[in-house]
Order: sequence, then C-alpha cells, then structure tokens
Amino acid sequence: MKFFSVALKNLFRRRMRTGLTLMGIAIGIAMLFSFMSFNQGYQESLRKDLRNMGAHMLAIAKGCPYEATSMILHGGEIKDYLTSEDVERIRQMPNVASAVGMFMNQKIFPHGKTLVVYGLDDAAFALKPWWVVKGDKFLDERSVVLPEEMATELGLSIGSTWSMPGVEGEFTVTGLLEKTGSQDDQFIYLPLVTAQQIFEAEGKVTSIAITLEDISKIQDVVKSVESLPDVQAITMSQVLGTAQTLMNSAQAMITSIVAIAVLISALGVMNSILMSVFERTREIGMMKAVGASQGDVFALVWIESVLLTLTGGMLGIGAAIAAGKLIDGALRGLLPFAPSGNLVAFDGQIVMVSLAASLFLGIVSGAYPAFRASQLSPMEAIRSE
Amino acid sequence: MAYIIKAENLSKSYKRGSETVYALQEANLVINAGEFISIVGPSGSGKTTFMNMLGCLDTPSSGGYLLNGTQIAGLKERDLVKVRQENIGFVFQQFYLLPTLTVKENVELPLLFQNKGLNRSKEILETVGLSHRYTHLPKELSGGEMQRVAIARALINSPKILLADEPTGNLDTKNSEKVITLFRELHRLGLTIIMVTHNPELARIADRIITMTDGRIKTA
Repeated sequence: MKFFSVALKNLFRRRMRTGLTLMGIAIGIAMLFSFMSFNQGYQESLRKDLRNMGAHMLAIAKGCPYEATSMILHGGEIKDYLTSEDVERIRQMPNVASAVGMFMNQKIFPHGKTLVVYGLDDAAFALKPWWVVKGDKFLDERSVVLPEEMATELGLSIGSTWSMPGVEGEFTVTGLLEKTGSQDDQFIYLPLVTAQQIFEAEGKVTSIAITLEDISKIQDVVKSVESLPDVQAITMSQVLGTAQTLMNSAQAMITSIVAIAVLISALGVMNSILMSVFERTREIGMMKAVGASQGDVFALVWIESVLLTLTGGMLGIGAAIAAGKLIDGALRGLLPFAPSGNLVAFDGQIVMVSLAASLFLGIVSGAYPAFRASQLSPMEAIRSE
Repeated sequence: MAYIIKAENLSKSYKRGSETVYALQEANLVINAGEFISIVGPSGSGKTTFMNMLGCLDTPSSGGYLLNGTQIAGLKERDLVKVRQENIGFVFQQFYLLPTLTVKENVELPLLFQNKGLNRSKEILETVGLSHRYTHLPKELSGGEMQRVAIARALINSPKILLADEPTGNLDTKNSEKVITLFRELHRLGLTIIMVTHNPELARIADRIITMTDGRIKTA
C-alpha cells in the first residue's frame, strides 16, 4: 500500500464533490489549452497565408490599411484601381525583380455565397510555384481554373462548362487547383483580361505583387513605389503587424477570462480539499496517533489535490482536443480578422504546458489544506464526545 | 517487576482568562510491564487528558513521564511520533477505520508511516479472529468486527503498550464481550494494556483500577 493509493481511494469517498471539482478544473485547463492552441494556430496560419502570397510586397491604391490587410489575405472588393502603367513603372524600378498586376473582385452567386474572382496572368502563376494545377491553366479567354474542392462541390470537372451570374456566355473549366490549405482554395481564377472585362475595368488592376532582387532594399522600393500618385506599398511584415494589432485587444480579453477561469477552478480545488480535511479531523488525528508525522499527513492531502487537478487537466485537454473544430468556428465568428488555416493548432508542447499548469494548480491550491491537515492534533481522535 | 511507565507529578494546565485550570494535577503512577490497568472516573475528571499524556499525544505542562526509559516531557512532536510508533498501539471508541480501505489495508495503515519491513497483518488478523475478512471493506463488518480490526491495526507495530479509549463504548453486550475476551488474551500474551472507561463493570476485568476526579488520581 502506498500514499498514492490511499489518497486516490479517498477521492472516491465523495464522488459527487470530486466530480464537480474535476469539472471545474477541466473547464479551466480546457480554456487554457484552447487559448494556447489558438494563439499558436493563429500565428501559424497568418504566417502561412503571408508566405502563400508569393510576393515580398504589394502595391495597392491608397485607402484604409485595415481593409487592405483583410483584402490581401481574404479577397474582397476594392473600389480604387491601379493601372497597367503603374505595373510597368514599378517593373522598371531598381531592385524590383518582378511586378505582377492582379485583378480581384467579388460576385454574389445565386446560393447567396460571395465568391472572390481573381484575374491572373502567367506571371502571377509564376509567383506560386508550389501550385499544382491539374489539366491546363488558361487555354483561352473563356477558361476558368477552380480549386478542386470547390469544383467537386459544384459538380464540375475538367471540360465542364460553367456560367457566372450576370455574365454573358459560358466558361470552360480547364484546370483544377489541388488543395493548397491556404486562402487560395477559396478563389475563382480567370484570365486577367477576362476578369477586367467582367467588372468593366479594362487595363486596371487591384494590386501589384512585387518581388525584390534584394530583400534588404525593401525600404528603398517602398519609397519609390509610394512616389507614384495614389499608390501605397504594403510589406508583408506590415500586414503581419496590422493583423497582430487587430488581435491584441481580443487576446488581452481572452487572457483575462482564461486567468479568471483557472483561478476559480483553483479556489474550487482548495475549497473541496479543505472541506474534506475538516470532515476528517478525527480520522487525521487517528493517523497521527498511529504514527503519521506532520509531513506524512501533508503529503497525503497534497497528493489528493495534485491527483485531482492532474486528472481534471487531462479531462480538460481531452475535451478541448475533441471540441477543437467547434472552438475554431466559434472563435472565427468572434475575431476581427481570422486567417484561413486552422485557428486552433496544438502540439506536444502545449499539452505538456497544460499538464504542468494542472500540476502547478494542484500544488498551489493543495498546499494550504495540506498544511491545515498537518497541524491537526492527534488528540482529535481521543477527544471525548 | 520492571516498570514500563512512570509518571511523576504530571500536570497539564490551561489558561482560561486570568485563572489557570488544571486538567491534570500532579499525577503519580507506576505501571509495570504486562499489567492491565483501567482508568475510570466521571466526565471532566481528567481521564482523557491523562490518556493523551500516557499515549504521548500531548506533552505535560510540568512533571516528568518516563516511558520505556525515555523522558517524554519536553519532546518535540517529531520525536513524539517516533515514540508512539515504537511503543504504543491505540484503540479508539469510534474505531476510525478508513472506509475506502480493505481490512488488510486498514490494519497495515501504520506501516505506511515508517520503514518497517516486517508485515504481520495476516498473523495478527488471525489473532483477533478475522482472517476470513481480509479483503472486506469496513462497511461489510459488524461493529464488533470493526473494533477488532482496529485492535489488529494497533498491534501491527508490535507495541509495548495498548492504549484503549472506551473500546466498547460503541458496542452491544455481545460484541463488547468479544472485545474484552480479546483484551484478556492479549494481556495473557504479555501486552501492557491501559483502558480508559466510565463503565465500572468493564473496569473490573483489569488487574488494577485507577480512579480519577477533578484532575487528580484518587486511588493508586
């Protein structure tokens, strides 16, 4: 027989109380775990989205930087255009390796979904060397490339014809983009010229993706680009910074909620263990009378507390993993800006940190009840009725 | 015969406001090894305080207490634990068996708190007549059986003295008799037994009766 088994068995004496305390801990740790997973997932998917841009910086028409951030990552409607001349001018600037004009706009489809239409040319495809397109890119002006998943959803395959609401004539699906796991899986790709025609913006582009010969010269290029009238340059680190700023206030709020939840669950454990110590005053007196030292009693109660929080923590982590998808969805609705990858991403390290937090919680919240128990007198067992 | 316990002017006092209350006043008592002693007296007479002193659960305010050659007065709790482990087995009125542990585990509980290799729980449970209850839980036992398990627990450390606080206080006549028979048997085997009770009839089975009133020993 070991201290461990005595402590464990004791927890089964008040099943209801133990169960409720476990739930408190599980909720607290689940929140902590989800929060850490979310932070990790958010950062990862944001970076991934940015890498997937394939460019070092973008030039867009002057406007709201927040709107621009969201547009760059998610697509959207931009009212102010740049021109083909802008593309040409930027292409001539020193240190610029390539400048590719892209056209982006959105259409509302009959099923109520807003789809973003991307106008690309061959140079734009070159920015995304990792793309795997089944079939062909564009064969003519009436070609369309669809993400594979979207095509499956729409019941389309290579060679199918497809029409866009409000646009005369039909398109032929010439290529399917294999799943990239990024925001690119949400767009419809048309030849640049076709996209410009559909939205009556011939010769106009919404953004210019710029790659540099030497990334350390990025500030010089920013200056040159912004010397053009009504053009602003956005570097990828600016996009990252803007997205992070949008997140900071939300994060501060979530942090305090998680801290409160964890604190409350710690108080719950302390209360529960303290109550069980008071109920067992005489029994603990007996243990001391039959040879338990202060340290023995302290250890017994402490082990109970740690067992409780570790078990609760494991339940919480399990529940958080199981509910990951739900949490992802719920957060997506709450956030000012959400990247396209998995918002909730956990790894072994987050599991370990959550378990360590559970252990710490047990150690801290069990210390006082354990101390109180250790100070009980062995005379409690004899004290006459 | 060699004495195992020697109390000299043993006193325990408390402050209550400005006055000093004596729970135990200048008790003198010598108990020989192998004796069976009863301590009787009405409530408030100081029996419990005296028992706490003898059992090394509490230290005296003044006076001396020699237990098996060790001076107990002035010892710290850490040392008292050792003295208890090595010398004394306790039997309580309320049994205090842990409900989640089996009979065997309850009997072995004191071993948890010391590094003693020897485990005689099987043998001891045979002595108290409960070897067939080895794996049962306390709730499956009668009151008498519970007290016999508690006695087995008191014996697991091979104590020199068995201290019993109203051991039959919670038992009916039939079960009380079984416990008393067991005490007699243990006494016959050479164990020193000190039993506190307010039941005069029970007290009479002892070799010697100590009567207490108002914190003093009346008859020695």
